[in-house]
Amino acid sequence: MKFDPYRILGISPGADIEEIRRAFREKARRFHPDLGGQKELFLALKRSYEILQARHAPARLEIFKGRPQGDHYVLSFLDVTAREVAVGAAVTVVIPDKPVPCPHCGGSGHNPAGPKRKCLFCEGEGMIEFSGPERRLRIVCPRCGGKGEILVDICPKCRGKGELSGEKELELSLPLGARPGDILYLPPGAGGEVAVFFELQVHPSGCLNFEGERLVSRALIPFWRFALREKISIETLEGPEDLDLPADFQPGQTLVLPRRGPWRADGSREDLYVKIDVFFPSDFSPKARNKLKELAEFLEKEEKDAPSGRDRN
Amino acid sequence: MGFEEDVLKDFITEAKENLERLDEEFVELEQRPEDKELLSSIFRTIHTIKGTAGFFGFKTLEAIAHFAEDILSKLRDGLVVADEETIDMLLKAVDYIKAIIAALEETGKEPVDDTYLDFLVDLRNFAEKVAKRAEGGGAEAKEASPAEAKEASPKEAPAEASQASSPEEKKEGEKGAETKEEAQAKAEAPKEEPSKAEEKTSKPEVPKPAASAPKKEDKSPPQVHLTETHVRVDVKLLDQLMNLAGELVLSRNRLVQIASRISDAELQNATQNLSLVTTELQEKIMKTRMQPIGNVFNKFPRIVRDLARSTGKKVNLRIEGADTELDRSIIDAIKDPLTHLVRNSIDHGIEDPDTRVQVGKPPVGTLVLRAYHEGGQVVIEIEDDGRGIDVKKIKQKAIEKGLITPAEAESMSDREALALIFRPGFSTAQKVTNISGRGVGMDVVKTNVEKLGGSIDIQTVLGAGTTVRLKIPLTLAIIPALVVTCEGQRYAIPQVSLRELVGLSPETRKNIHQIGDSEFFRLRGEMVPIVRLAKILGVEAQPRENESLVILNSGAMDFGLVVDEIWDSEEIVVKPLGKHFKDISIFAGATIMGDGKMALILDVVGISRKIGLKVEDVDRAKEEGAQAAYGEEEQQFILLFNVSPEEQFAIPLALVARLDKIKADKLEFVGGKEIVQYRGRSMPIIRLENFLPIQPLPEQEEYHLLVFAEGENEVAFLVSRIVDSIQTHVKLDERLYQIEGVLGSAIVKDKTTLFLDVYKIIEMHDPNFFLKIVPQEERPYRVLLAEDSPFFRQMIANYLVAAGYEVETAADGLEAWEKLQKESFDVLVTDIEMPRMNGLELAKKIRAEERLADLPIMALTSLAGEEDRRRGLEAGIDEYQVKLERAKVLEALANLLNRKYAKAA
Ligand SMILES: [Zn+2]
Ligand SMILES: [Zn+2]
Repeated sequence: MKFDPYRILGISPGADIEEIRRAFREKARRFHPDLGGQKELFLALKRSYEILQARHAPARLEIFKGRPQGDHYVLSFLDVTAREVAVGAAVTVVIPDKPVPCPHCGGSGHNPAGPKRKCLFCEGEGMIEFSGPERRLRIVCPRCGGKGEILVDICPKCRGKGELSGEKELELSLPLGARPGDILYLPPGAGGEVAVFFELQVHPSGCLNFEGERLVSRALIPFWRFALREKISIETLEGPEDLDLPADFQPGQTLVLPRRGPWRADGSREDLYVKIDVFFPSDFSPKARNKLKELAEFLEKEEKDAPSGRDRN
Repeated sequence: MGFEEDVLKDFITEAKENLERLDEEFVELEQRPEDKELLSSIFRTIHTIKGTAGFFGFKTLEAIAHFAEDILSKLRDGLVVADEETIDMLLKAVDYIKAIIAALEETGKEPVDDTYLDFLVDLRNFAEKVAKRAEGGGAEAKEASPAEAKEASPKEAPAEASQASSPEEKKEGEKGAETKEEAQAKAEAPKEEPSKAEEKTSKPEVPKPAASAPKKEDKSPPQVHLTETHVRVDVKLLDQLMNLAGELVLSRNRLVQIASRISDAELQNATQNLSLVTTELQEKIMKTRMQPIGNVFNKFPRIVRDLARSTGKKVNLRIEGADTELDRSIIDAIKDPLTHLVRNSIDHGIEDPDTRVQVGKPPVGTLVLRAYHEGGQVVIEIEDDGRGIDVKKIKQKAIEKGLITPAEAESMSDREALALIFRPGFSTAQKVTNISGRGVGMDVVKTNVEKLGGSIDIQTVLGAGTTVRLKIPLTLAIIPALVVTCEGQRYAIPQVSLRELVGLSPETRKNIHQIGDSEFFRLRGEMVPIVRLAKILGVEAQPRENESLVILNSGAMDFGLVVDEIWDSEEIVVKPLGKHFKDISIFAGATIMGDGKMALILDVVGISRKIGLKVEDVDRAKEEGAQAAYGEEEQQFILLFNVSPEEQFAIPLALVARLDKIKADKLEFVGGKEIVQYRGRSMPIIRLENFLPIQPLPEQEEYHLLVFAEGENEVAFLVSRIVDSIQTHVKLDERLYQIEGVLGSAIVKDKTTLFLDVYKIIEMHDPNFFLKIVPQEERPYRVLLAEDSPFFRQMIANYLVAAGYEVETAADGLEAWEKLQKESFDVLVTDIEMPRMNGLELAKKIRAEERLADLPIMALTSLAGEEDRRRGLEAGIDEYQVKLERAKVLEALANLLNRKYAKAA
């Protein structure tokens, strides 16, 4: 016999969590080994309680290690942004639900728009007549349901099944610590009918994206700002933010904002990496070009005048 | 319960779950020793166990996990390949971990037992061997090791130990290094364990003391006791057990037979007991061979993800019934066909997201893998909601490939066309798959499935999706079978193929119809092809009074096998056939019967192929037969044939006396008439093109004869090909072809088909062919014929006219009634089932009218039942006949008229 937690706790399968809790407490008191109860029975009670507790827990996505498995399950995917993953945002997921009658054929499984033929059972009469032991009976034709004709083609929508697999939407939080490519798991019961595994497919959100395991914020700034080490604006998980470029900062280097990155499962945070791409316009107005030339000449002259050279770093 | 206790409990629960998964993963690892993802997963699991063990301070557990992890990391990084020895060692490690977890669960403490520490030493040595192999035999010293070791946390003490040893050290003296390292490792370990370990490890390779000797020989892990006990058993051992159980079943069968001869109550009792136990034993052993299909299903998430990614499609995979169990050997065998089908579904079935949105589907496609039990078989379905299969394109491709002619394509049903996918040579090039969808190697898939005694079936709706359904037996080794005899020999037929048994008596033999070379048995409106087992076996068959017909299902079709006798039904053990039997496709194996003699097991699929009938034809006949199960009144058996390949003709099958084939050289001209020597007589031949404006019969080596008989007279149509015989409802269009000899046209099997007036044509050929049995007076008798079906109306009218009657027709009872009011007739011939006013109502009305009270009435039906006859007589009908039995109708009509008018005279 299958392990039935409801039976063991002595409650009906419709019981709510309060009822389950009450039943467990009462029974646990009676069968606790310390009070001379049977150990096996107590363990069975405990296991039942845990199973039902899990079943009644609000739906929660978990990070799943290993490969999806089980008797019934669905492997789906979640399209989310890097930001949503990093902060464990609430997302809408679509999960399978109980089947619904096919709206196209109304559950008959036959195409109502397709060809029809005369019902051969009732000769198109819709009624059949036969002699009973005492009198003649007229009954509605069981084959065509009294219509006198039969739909020939099967329903293209449900392909003859008469029902479609249902769907429902759930608002769920992404678990903290999830990373691109991870598989998230939604246990059956809490959310939908079957276990669902979601493969996380992470897309960039604005300037933020995961590169490997790291969350990277990329900024594009013009070369003069970079040269002047001016304040630049970057995207962080908390929104846009101004950042002072360190005086010795060079292109290709990465800035690290400690503990400003994605959350880990334990509530702590990783670092946020800032990568800065320098932007060189290819076209200048004649005026700007002249000024740039002027500046270039000035700088080159300065360089020459100081043969020892300035510290380039 | 304290906090620690709770956490420990959680740890144990989690560890047990992990270990269960490890078992499965190792099994898979044997199949795919280089699977990175699998190795990483195993590595992670072991790593987790190690970490938690460290947290609790379970040193032995931590150390075992550590060394296992060490080996795994080398495998994962591809430095060494997981060979049998390595996997074996890892499996042992898992077994030890299990044992420790079991002990923890029981006592909360690690077990104190030498075997664990002994194993730890073995494992550590092995890990070192693996490490050496990974470094290419230790040629290269690893400078980094000590540095790494320094960084290692105290928790990872064993790691430190192993990495600290440089290859040089090991070369110098492995044992020495070991001791040192062990000591180092054990410095962290509590209590007495380390010292014991040290004792053991420090022993060089000298013979061990008696106490520890067994562990060296017997490396099997200690007796483990997890709450859910699993013991690893060699598959070979299971196979042997299975074979032995098979032998036992045979011996049992034999004993039962002997016991039944010697009627001894005690012996009977004992054998009965043995019988029961044997059955149970066999069932239990069979169970050990059963595995959940999840073993295969669970590898599809990854395949589907990879395929979806590479094709840019979005796919939800739904797995249903992964716990459904099947024999292990079958699971192995269906892996490849399933992978193939899943690939096809994603490659060619499911559309890319944009296309899906354009046709009003959700962008994400769904692929369902479903397994369930159904009547001793497992059904596996691969279902997608993709574009479906375009039958037209399949046909087109098949024509291009030269598999069928355009004419054949035109006359093919959708079902037949779908079956083309399974033909060898349908799809070899890739471009085919782009056009037609599925196809690559589907013939191979089908063959593989059929080899397992299974069947494959496709259902598709263009634009909506495709379902491929495999039906596979649960197990192969011991099967219930029906034992039949043929010419004194016994043969076993697997019970799973059996549909029905029919005793062949003179009465039931009436349901046998000869069509061309084939015989069909009419089973509740269904035409089932039948074949004689003797013919299949190629043995000389003695004519018999009472034979039996075994109706079988080969997966693709039903057919009947005529056997001499049904012998028994018993469980048989399948034995493979010897080499010299390999070529014979009609046997699936052999078995030893209760009396010790061998019987061959018939391969139902193989035999169905030998019948030489197109599966598709039979399939369709079946479908149409099922549809025709209701409304016998309107359904007719029609014979379809060609004269030239382009034109299709039809005649009622019931009119044909025989179908036969003749060689062209058997035709001769005698006195200006073409004849054929047939059954010792010369029979005139009718070439239809001589009487009808149709394409002539092409020159052929062999022709088909449609033989018609009237008393002693015989005549035959010469035709090129019998297309089919089907049961269908004929909706005749009389307007299109107003030609003598043609009743009308109808679309049959998607082709315009001319329905020929056999009587008219024969009369045109030989006006004296039909005997005149009209009781001729000075004027011909006037017949009023009431019949709603134009097909029958015209045909009956024609044969009545040919027989010398004057015929007036009415389309229903009411029209007939009206004509009766205006004109006078000598006789009424009426159908029973008619719209507006049926035959019975008409008859009652006639009998109620004084002027018509004496009008002879003959009723015609498709099939005359006793109940109909009685009702007819009550309504005042004088005669009852079957429409197509022309001779009887004419004879009865003549008698009826004679009776009535002789009486009147
Ligand atoms: Zn009906
Ligand atoms: Zn529908």
